[in-house]
Parts: sequence; structure tokens; C-alpha cells
Amino acid sequence: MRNAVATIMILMLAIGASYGLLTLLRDRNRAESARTAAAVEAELIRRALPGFQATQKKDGAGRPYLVGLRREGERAIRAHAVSVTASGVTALVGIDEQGRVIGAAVTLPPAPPLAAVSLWGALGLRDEERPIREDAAAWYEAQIKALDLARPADTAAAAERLTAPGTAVTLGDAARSWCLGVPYARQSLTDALRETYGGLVKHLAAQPPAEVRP
Amino acid sequence: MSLFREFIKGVGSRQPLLMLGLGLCQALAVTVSLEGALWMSLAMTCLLVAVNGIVSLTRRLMTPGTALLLAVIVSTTLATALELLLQGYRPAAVPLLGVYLPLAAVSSLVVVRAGEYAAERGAAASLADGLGMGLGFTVALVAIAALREIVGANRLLGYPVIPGFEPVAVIVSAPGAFIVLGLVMWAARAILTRRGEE
Repeated sequence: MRNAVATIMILMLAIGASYGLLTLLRDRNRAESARTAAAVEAELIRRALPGFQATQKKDGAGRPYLVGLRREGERAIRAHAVSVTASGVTALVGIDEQGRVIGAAVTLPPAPPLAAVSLWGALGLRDEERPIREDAAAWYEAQIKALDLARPADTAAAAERLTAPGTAVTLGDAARSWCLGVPYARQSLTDALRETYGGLVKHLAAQPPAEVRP
Repeated sequence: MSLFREFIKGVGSRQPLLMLGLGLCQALAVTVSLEGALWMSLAMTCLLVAVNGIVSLTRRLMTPGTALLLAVIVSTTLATALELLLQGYRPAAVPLLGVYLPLAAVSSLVVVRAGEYAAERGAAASLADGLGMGLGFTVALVAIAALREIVGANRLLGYPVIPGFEPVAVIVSAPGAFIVLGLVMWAARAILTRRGEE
């Protein structure tokens, strides 16, 4: 009888210790994996777009669906533009007086395009052209329409500027060697920026910034 | 029997893989590369020592016949823990071992040594047995893996070995595992049996 009680106690102790040890290790692995992935993504963004700070929101599968970028130490936007790529990526990009990209809000499918507007507001940018508000859907739609029409001719020129050595060219290989969710995010982001920037350049060339306002 | 003899028998007459035929599953599956064999050997040695130790220490407290139950709980926990540790610290090693690391928990080698040996002997002897069996398993696995990697891929730990040698691809395939295991087993038995007769 004594042996039976001891056996049950030992087995319960073994099961308890097993559960504790494995839970500890699993939690540790998950935390480490998340920390590594975050560090890797921050590093990839830093390499791809030097001087930018990034914020992201991810879905349940760990894929980013909202990506916000802001140039470190700068907030003032002179003009902004919006673009929707063929793959459904939406981007808002703002530039300063010199035409440099200061901030970008990118939504990746299946996030709705308007989510970029919310993110734009959260980036803390001072948009001198026109504050973008969440209720600016009509304006937003008009912008999408205008830029979609203007986009194709300028994408290549804009992409050329954005893929100068040291920026986005090596992203694919670097990202592939790290983790699965990252290449998707980086490539989408790069595509969106290229197209948006292309659209923005075209738009500003066609008319003075003051006239961009709806 | 002295502790040293308990320990050394695992490398000699009671060689677990080549003489007793225990742990064949792992020997066939992970010996495609030496690196995989080394990780598996380390895992099996840890399992053998820990399971033998715990089963032996609790043998007087447990109802007769329940040692195996405890052995399986301990070995499955440790095998999973080892896999999680590898995922955390050496993720590249995990694909080399595949499902065979978790399966090591119920490997005949671990279960037989715990149930037939550690459940009836003291802790020191059981630990020595676990360590010796682990070492014996390691020696056999390393020999088989090295042979397969060199002959089947002309590489060792990923580095090229013999310039100009054309690898025999069948050796790194599943049938090749049986062929090499059979040859190594035959050689080991011939040597160890002759030594025993002398």
C-alpha cells in the first residue's frame, strides 16, 4: 500500500515537473523567437531604408499588415501621395522640401486601404499639405484614382532612385535567410514605396504642391 | 562488478547497437551525416543517464513493474526538452534529427536499459551503465555515419574528403543505411567475439 501511494506520488511529481520544464522551455523559445524576429526586421528595415524608424502591426500568422516609417528626427511633410499597387498594397508617402521621403504608411493585404490613414496619424508627422483624417475617405478615393492613372509611367524612374546601392536591392537575399514573414513584408514595402514615390513625383511635377489639395 | 566494468561493457561485449541490436531506428535514420549522428548520440547519452539514474533512485519506492511507466515519462520529457533546447540554441541541427529525436524517448535502448537494468540496480551502477551505453552507441553511430558520409557523399562534416572520388549515392539512401549497418555490425561482432574468446 505504501509503495502504491509512493508510486502515484512519484508519477504525479514526474508529470508535474515535466509540464513545468516543457512550458518553461516553450515560453523561452517563443520569447526568444519573437525577440530575434523583431531585431531582424528592425535591422532589415535599417539596411533597406537607412535613417528610418519603423512600426508594424502583424496578423495572427505573424505577417505584417500595417507598416509605418518615419525618418529619424524629422516630422515635417510638405506633400503626400497615396498609391495602391496591383497586388493590393496601399501606401501613403510624404516628402519634404527636397523631395526626400519623410514618412510612409503602408497596408498589406488583407488590411483595408483606409487603415493606412489611421497609421499615418499615429506616426506623429506634421503634414503641412493637408492633415489626413480618417474621415477623409472621399479625398482618399480621389487620390487613389488620380495616382493610379498616373502611376505606370513613373514607377521605373522612382524605383531607380529608391534602389540605389545600399538601399533596397539586396533585400530579397538578406530577408530570405532570416524568417518567412519578412521577405513578404520587405518586398511589399519596397514595391509600395517605389510605386508611391513614383506617383508622388509625377503628381508634383504635373502641378505645384499647393494645387494638390482637393 | 566494478563501476568501470559496468561502464566499459557498453563499448565492448554489450555494445548496445552492434551487439544487442538496440537503437536501430536511430542508427538507420540519422546516420546520413556525421553531424546528425553526433547530435543524436549526445541526446541518447543524456536520456540514458537521466532515465537510468531516476529509475534506479526511485526503484525501492515504486510498486514492482511500474519502473517503465516512470522511465517513459522521464524519457519523453527529456527528449522533448532536448528538442526545444536544440530549436532554441542550435536550430540547424533540428532538421538533421527530424522525428527521430522525439522518438528516442521510446527507443528500445532507453526502455530496455531502464526496465531491465536500472530498475534492479543501484544508482552508481545504473549511471555508469547509462554512460557506457551512451558511449557505445556514440562510437557505433559515428562509425556508421562517417562511413556513409564519406562513401556516399565524399564529405565529412560537410567538408570534401577525397579529391576526385566519385560518391556512391546509394550509401546515403535508405538501403545504403542497412548495408553499412550490416557491414559494421558484422565487423564489430567478429572483432568483439574473437576478443571474448581470447
